[in-house]
Amino acid sequence: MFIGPCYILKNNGVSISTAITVAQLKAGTNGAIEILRSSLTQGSVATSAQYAAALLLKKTAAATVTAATAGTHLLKQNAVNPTSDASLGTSATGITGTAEGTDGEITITRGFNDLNGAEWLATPEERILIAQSGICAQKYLVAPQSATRYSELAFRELRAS
Amino acid sequence: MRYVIRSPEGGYLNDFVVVRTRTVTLNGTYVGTESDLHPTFKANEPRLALKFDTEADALTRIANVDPLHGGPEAFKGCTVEPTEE
Repeated sequence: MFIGPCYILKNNGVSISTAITVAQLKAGTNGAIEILRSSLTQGSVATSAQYAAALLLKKTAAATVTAATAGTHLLKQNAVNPTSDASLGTSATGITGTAEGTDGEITITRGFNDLNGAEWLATPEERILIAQSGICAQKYLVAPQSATRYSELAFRELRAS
Repeated sequence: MRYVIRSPEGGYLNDFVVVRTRTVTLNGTYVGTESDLHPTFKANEPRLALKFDTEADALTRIANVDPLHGGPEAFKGCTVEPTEE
């Protein structure tokens, strides 16, 4: 394990009904990031439905997203953390894809019932590192039923400064 | 190269602070929350600021069309500067 500040990239309630990127994170240039936890849930539908989703995948070309806003989508785990080094932008860190870019390695996949959602908590040995300027994301691999959906991607920055 | 936003007073954009959060419901069903945020310019050097992937991303942030983020007034006089990162 490394020592470094932790952050959460969060999609806090967006209607999603297609197989799209829910949240995308582009690491900064000052250090790699390690992924600590990833979750996908919904909060508006009581109908059972079974899906597969990528709780973590690597992008070889960024999806087009709504740029993340600090304080809304990109949160400090602790108020004393420094400002995140993540790159913000429509082809960088943001939420809710409108164009999918190119998916690379799909690292963590879960099949789950929509009533429960899915959560992946990495053990220390399996925390996945994303290199400087690397891009990772959470994505529904099939179109889910229309619902207000939430996601969280917790990560640590292994920054030099 | 990445980009940062600098205020007329000299500080760089480093965060948005939530000043109020409301629960949003539709027909009595919880659908999410929305927050009022204000930008803070407390970074005294670009290294400590929020970085934007492209100049266009930073300019969009300055345009700040979202009234929940203080509207354009919150970024009045701000400029975009490149960094070497």
